[in-house]
Amino acid sequence: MMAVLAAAAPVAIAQSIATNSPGPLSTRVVSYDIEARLDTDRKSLDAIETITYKNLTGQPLSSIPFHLYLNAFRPQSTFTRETHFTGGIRDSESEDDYPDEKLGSITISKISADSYGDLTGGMHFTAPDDGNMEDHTVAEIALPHPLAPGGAITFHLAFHDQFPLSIARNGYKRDFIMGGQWYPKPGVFWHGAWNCHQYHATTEFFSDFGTFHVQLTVPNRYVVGASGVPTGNRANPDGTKTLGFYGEDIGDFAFAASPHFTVTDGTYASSMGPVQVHVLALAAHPAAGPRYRDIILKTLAEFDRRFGPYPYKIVTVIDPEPGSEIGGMEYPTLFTGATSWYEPTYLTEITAEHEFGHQYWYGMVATNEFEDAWLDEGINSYTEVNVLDAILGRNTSVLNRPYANAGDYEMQRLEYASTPDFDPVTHWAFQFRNAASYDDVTYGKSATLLATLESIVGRDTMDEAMHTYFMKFRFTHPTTEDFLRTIEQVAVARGRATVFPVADACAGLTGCIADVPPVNSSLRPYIDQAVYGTQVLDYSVDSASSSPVQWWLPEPKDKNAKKNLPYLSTIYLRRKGDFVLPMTVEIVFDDGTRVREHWDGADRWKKLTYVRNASVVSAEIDPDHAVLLDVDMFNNSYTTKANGIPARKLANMWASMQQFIAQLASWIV
Amino acid sequence: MSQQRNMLTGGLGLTLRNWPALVWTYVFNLGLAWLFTLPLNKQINAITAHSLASGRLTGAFDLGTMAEVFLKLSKGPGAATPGTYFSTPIYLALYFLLVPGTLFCYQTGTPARLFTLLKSGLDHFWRFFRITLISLVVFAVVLGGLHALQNVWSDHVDQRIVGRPAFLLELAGLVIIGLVAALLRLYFDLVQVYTVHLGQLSYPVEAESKRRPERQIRRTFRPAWRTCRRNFLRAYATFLFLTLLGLAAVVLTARAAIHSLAQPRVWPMFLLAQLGLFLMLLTRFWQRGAETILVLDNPMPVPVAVVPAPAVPEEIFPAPTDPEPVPDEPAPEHIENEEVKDRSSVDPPEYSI
Repeated sequence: MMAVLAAAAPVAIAQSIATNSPGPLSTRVVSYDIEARLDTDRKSLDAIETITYKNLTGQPLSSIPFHLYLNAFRPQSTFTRETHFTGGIRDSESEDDYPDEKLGSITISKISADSYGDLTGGMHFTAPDDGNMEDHTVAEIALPHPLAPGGAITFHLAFHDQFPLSIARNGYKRDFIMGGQWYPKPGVFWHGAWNCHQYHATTEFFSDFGTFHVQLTVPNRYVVGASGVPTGNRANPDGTKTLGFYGEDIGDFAFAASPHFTVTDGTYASSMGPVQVHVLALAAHPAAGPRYRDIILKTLAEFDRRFGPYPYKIVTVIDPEPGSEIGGMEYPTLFTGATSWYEPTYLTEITAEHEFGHQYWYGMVATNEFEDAWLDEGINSYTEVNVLDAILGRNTSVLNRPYANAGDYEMQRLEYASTPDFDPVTHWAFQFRNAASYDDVTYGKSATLLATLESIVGRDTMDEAMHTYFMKFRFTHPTTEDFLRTIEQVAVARGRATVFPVADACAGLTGCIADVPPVNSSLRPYIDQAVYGTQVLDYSVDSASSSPVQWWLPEPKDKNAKKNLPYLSTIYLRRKGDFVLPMTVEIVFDDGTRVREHWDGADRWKKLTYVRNASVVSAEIDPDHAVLLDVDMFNNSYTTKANGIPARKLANMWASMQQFIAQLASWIV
Repeated sequence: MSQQRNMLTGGLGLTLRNWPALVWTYVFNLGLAWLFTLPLNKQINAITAHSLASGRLTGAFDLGTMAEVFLKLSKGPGAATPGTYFSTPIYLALYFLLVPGTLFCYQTGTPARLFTLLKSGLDHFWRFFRITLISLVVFAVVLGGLHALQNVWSDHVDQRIVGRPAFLLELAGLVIIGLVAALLRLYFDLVQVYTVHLGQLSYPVEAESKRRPERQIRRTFRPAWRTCRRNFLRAYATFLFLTLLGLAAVVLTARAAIHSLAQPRVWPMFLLAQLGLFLMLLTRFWQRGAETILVLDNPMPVPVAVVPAPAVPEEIFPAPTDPEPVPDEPAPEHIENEEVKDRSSVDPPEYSI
């Protein structure tokens, strides 16, 4: 395969074995060197880790916090507490007992640092988010003397992992093991302070870029996929093999091991060089390999064209065991899909596309998933809809059958509409009302508000803004304002927005930090309501009717005479929600004419009247169906002629189902 | 005992000759379902009738649009429409009355008028109520145990096998549960048929005041069991065949109905769905007819009534369809001679209806 990759090499000569870039792509803060041995029977791992951390913070550091995510899988942890009481986005843990097989842990038996000596005694657990000292997902290492700015510290750790029966994103299921968040990882020094949150029910991750050299020893029968590129395979006399992997300009390292993987490969010639699509699918899912490969090849092309190149030499797709809580999870250059032996929809493709999208929105544009979850999940859901629209069709990207269809954009919109107003998208991930609100707002509302923003500034402008955002902020940690201001800048430059001479809209907002200067564009009112607010957008056509102007005269029976009769048509529009947005209204008359009106949407209602020799057929707010953020699409229009078919269809389905249930139930009599 | 008529053809003949019973049952089910769906239809109509967005449910069938309708219903005032679900219990109550009436008409040839069906249903109400209670207990015990075993089996499979083989293995467990459920249903169907059959027998007038439905029901268990055991293969095969036929009809017509979802008209979907439901009901009534044939071919042995005055029990009734007992057939077992004798010494006969 490497020969194939080499043959397809681009003009530029790649210096790296892991990327198609001639030089480093990121500021490499951390370097990891890990030798690990996986015990597939005990579902455990023992490893020696060497971490070299560069102090690029500009200030001396007296302590360094580490994430110990595997300790979340204990009943005492904040993760489990939150999952139990307010729901999790994977396993619910709603039972009142905690089974032993779901216990997970990571134990550092020894930690030392060059020129600092043994630091094991200086390690202690902290709980910066909620003070739960039983949490154990964050440990702080106190340094005997500060690490000077520009200096580096090399830690040597020995640690032991116990993987749980999968609860969220990692662990084991049958003989499949997913090594995700499995090693001690330093927090990120960000905006003048350590950012090292505890693991929460709804949070994901945040880490610095670096390099990874990993040696993983597994039984011979196991097939392993991992972040980075494979660097070697050594057979051991004890029936095991040691596999080498190397990754650079990535923020995390994960692996998956199973004896049941089958390999399906493909190659995409990106604008930076060839990319290997390496699929490890379960033998029990014979169709999965080609399906994953095909959709990722198409997705790579779409992302390359729309946002920028994928610079790594490989992307590995893992098909996890069915019934695990591991499907649909992203790691740098590796992600897990989700499928089944029978899967007649496009959910396999949607999951694969979404997780690949995270290579851009999380992997390269490495936003803080604890504090700005919408910047990875939300933007990724928005690009998912657009990419899948292009590949599978707008109304058919979930299901495409002659008798029924479903589109991804509508699914995202429905998710948002089910919980539209508990939380703004900018809430920190663990501060949402519950897991459902986090899910619906972070994914559904974010995707929908960005799709609506796209309709406001135009598709081309939004594409350019997304491209600009990716190219400017890849391999950095941008914030919400960085993203929004980039859109504003592009929109203003393209004449799709104007600049308001007002104060910085960001002023006074907690955590409102950005590298991009404020733009204060005409998009701000929308942004304030849709992004920072919880306002609900709901405009409706309350009524549309026509009456003869000379209503006191008898109505002529002759059709031609009717056509010459002047009618007074009246349309009432209404703003039902607290979200204000200018709206377009289209009125159709029975002589075929269409009239478009503009309404600033500010008042609670508006009346439109027309006198013409035609009566109104329909009136519709947002006739281009661009404002997807409107929570109720049905009341956006009013037709004077009723259509009873949809109601009869649905009622007929319901009644037939009731009859069927009744007949089945009659078996007990 | 006797002639062995073809259960399938005989049962179908009974079902068709007594078609009003089937039609009334179907009409009740359809009528109730629609009656309780009308408010829902009205609510949906209020959302969709004057909206251009509903176009995606007219000449197409967009699942997202459909989901949005139900999302709106779930959030709107009074939208939960709990009454929509009431059609099933009411139908079950009616079915509870119609089944004994149907069996009565099957056995007696009485025209299956609605009045006859309901009156007979009321006459047998408590007996069928008790049979249903007993059958529920038996179903719960047997199927509950099997369900627990199925969970163990499912876990066992899940820990070792995935994909299609796992699905088929777990399905095999469910099929076994289905087969056992069908067997239990067949047995209690026969109990019901024998119960109605027992009701056809006339008894001394003085015994009328001594009605004890639970004893009459108890008296039908053994003949039902014996008939089921002696005719197991053909009875069970017939029952399963008709069950599968009914399910196949529903599945095929439902599939065809689903394929007409995107049409800008409702009647094809309506007709197809109703055809399947009607055929499913037909096969259930056909099963009842086949079971009636089986019972008529294996009638309850003639009960021996002992009246207080004469010391010798007097045989009152001939067997309805088996006037000439087969000489080498063993004596009826279901009414133990000793039991009758014992009772005769202390009680008047109690098997009157």
